[in-house]
Amino acid sequence: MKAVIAREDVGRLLAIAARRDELHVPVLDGGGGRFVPLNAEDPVPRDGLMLNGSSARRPPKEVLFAQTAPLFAFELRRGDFSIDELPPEAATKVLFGVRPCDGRGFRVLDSLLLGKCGTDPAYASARQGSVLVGIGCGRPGSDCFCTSVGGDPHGTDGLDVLATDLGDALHLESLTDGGEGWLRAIAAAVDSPLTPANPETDQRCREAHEEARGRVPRHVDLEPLDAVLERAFDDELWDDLAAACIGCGACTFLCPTCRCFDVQDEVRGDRGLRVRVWDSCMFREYTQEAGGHNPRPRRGMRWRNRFYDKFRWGAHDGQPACVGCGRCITHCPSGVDLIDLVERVVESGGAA
Amino acid sequence: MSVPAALDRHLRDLLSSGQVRCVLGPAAGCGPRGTAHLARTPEAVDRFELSPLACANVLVHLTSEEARRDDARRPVAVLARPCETRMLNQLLSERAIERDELHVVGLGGCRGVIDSRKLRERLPELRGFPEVREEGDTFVIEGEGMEPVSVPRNELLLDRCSGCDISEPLFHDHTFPLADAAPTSAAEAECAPEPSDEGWDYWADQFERCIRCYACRDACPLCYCEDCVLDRLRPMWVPRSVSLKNNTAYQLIRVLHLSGRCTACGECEQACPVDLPLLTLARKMEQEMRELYGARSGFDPEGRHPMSVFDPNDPEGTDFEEQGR
Amino acid sequence: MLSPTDERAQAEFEPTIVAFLCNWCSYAGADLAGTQRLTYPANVRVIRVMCSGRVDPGYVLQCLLQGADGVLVSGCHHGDCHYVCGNRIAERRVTVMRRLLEFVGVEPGRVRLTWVSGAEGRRFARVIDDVVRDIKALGPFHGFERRAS
Repeated sequence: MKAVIAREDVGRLLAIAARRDELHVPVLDGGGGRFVPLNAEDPVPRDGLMLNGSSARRPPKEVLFAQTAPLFAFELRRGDFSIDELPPEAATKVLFGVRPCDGRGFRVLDSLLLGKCGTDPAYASARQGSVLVGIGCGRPGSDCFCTSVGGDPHGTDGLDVLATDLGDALHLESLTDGGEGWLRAIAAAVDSPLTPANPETDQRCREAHEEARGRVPRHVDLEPLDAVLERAFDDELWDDLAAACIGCGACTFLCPTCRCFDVQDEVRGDRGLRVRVWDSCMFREYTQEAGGHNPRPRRGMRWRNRFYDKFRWGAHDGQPACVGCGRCITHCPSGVDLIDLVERVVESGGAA
Repeated sequence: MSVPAALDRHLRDLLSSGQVRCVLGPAAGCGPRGTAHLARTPEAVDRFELSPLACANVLVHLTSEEARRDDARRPVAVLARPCETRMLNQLLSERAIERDELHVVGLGGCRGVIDSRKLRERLPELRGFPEVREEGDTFVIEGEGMEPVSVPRNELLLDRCSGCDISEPLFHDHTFPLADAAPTSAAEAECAPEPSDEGWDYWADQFERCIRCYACRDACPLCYCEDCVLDRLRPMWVPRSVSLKNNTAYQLIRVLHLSGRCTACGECEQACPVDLPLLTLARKMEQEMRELYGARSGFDPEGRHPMSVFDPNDPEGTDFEEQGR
Repeated sequence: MLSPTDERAQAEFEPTIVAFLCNWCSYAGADLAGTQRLTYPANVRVIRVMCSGRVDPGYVLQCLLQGADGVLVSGCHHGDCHYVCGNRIAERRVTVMRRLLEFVGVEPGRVRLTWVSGAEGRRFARVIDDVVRDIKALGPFHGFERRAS
């Protein structure tokens, strides 16, 4: 199904969507933006909604793969203990305003958290029935390179609905059964602001897609990378590449496809909570073993891990696990440039 | 722009004569941001960049675990702006590094550096690392495929630079003037506003946004503990769960561990990927230490940590007597 | 087990206060208050430490995080410290801690410092009276959570 909505009616559409499901939208929050649940009675101010310019700094990953997810509670009672399973998330989640790169990011998360290695129950229940309504990037950000990693500013992979910004209106197109169902339900609402698409809007849509593709500012050739990575693991270059890295977790926490976690018991008195929290392979602690040994003692080794994960180990369907959103580049505290590093790795050619 | 010829020669000599094992200094990063660069060979000196835009986390690499494991027999040369020599002093006073491990190449006549975030906000269309020229009270920014743009200095200066009162290195082995730097005009030297008390609701909004990536800690040259209390699992001083309460604990412990040591260089705030106003906290603590104990970190390489000494004239910390009993 | 602060009604609010008492003076003072049969409010949980200078500001913070409404640090009078100047160091640390808490919007009165010698049983009881009264007046601490609007 295809439909069009006037720009000024987006607020009404969100209000309808928020009445139906648990709706999350990207808003400016003083920290570059993130997805927050939208209350149908109390919609966000229009200038706070991040649908025009750049993507939210914190990717929508955290809506479905929470940074902190309680797994179960436990309590010690008279020498015995009890466990309370926490009920799974009940509401269907709709994410409105997901960028195509972040949509593809969910594909990567799915392949690992719902994949052959087992299913993560917390993620599975949040992901169940979720609808990702994407919005294309008319103006890609300063470090975007999605077209170099198999994506597109209006890519559809991973999304259920794609919205294209036509300036005065948004053009919505459903891509999956879930998206079709959601869009039809919105269109069927009594006060629905949707109007049918027509050949003219379709044409404008195609033009917008073409134009945006040319606006993606950065490019990198990944073609030779795989062969180099085949040989480069034990190369000395990694320590050099990571020289400016300070070893924080900003890149991994802002990455739409990083999904490492840690499980901790947080106990107070007789009660406790087992929680799953994000972890980062950039932390030294991440590989610290109980006996004191650390298989990745240097930042160069940790960097190498992230690099291999993004471009080799985490790859699936022939695409890298990096979706080219550019967040790790723009927001790296020490100015490390992933694209520059890819080029330097390729240039090195790997160990002789 | 790279570095002036005389400095370039000096650095190459240091490396080729084997006097230092490497040179640490600022370089152009990706986008309008600086990065740290470690030159081990004379050829690698080319990458250094002294533009007011190239500034980031350089000193943190002196105390990193890798640096300490490195061949420590020969000194490291550091390209240091005046505020960075202050930080070096503090590190020396804590014996985090030793004087003979350092060769300080001071950069004199500093007029402040640019906050890359302010620049990005001002010129969102900027791509790559632009050329920056200083002309009187303006910065002239010349980006890739862009007409040069003049921006008043005070709109782009890093917060730590407004009100800064050191424009020359506090100590050095060699010093070089930064290219065509003119003395700071009076208008600029006016102090940054005092940190104001915003109350819990404001700070709750801030700390709630923290994603606990530890960038503020990892970017701090003074956070060099190999075993950080914030990483500890037993006892778990700060639970791993990300919540307002735990984030507050994290930030307050971090700030307390830096009180009396912090030089308010602002790297924590620059590093924060979610724009928390961390320099405000740092500034507040620096101001308190000065008011309470006359302590100013980083001015005395032999100085002792103000939290480990006392003065008989210290302000009273108890308040029971005053209640008239 | 400490109950969540928000469940307690202001009217019958009984604060939970953690008191770090130094082994050589304040703890002995508390002991003396006991042997003298002095009464004081039962809101204080005493933790004996070897010296007030041993109290890391992190301990104080942990108390506030885990449900205390106030924290008292008590050591020897100036010049009496068993370790010469531990109490003076504590004085600096607590002062700085209070300033930081005040800056982020926590009443500095929730963290108190006092000196009580081993001979001052009566003073100890008065100090506790004082602290409990003042913290009652401040009301329950939000524990670094959002205040209910």
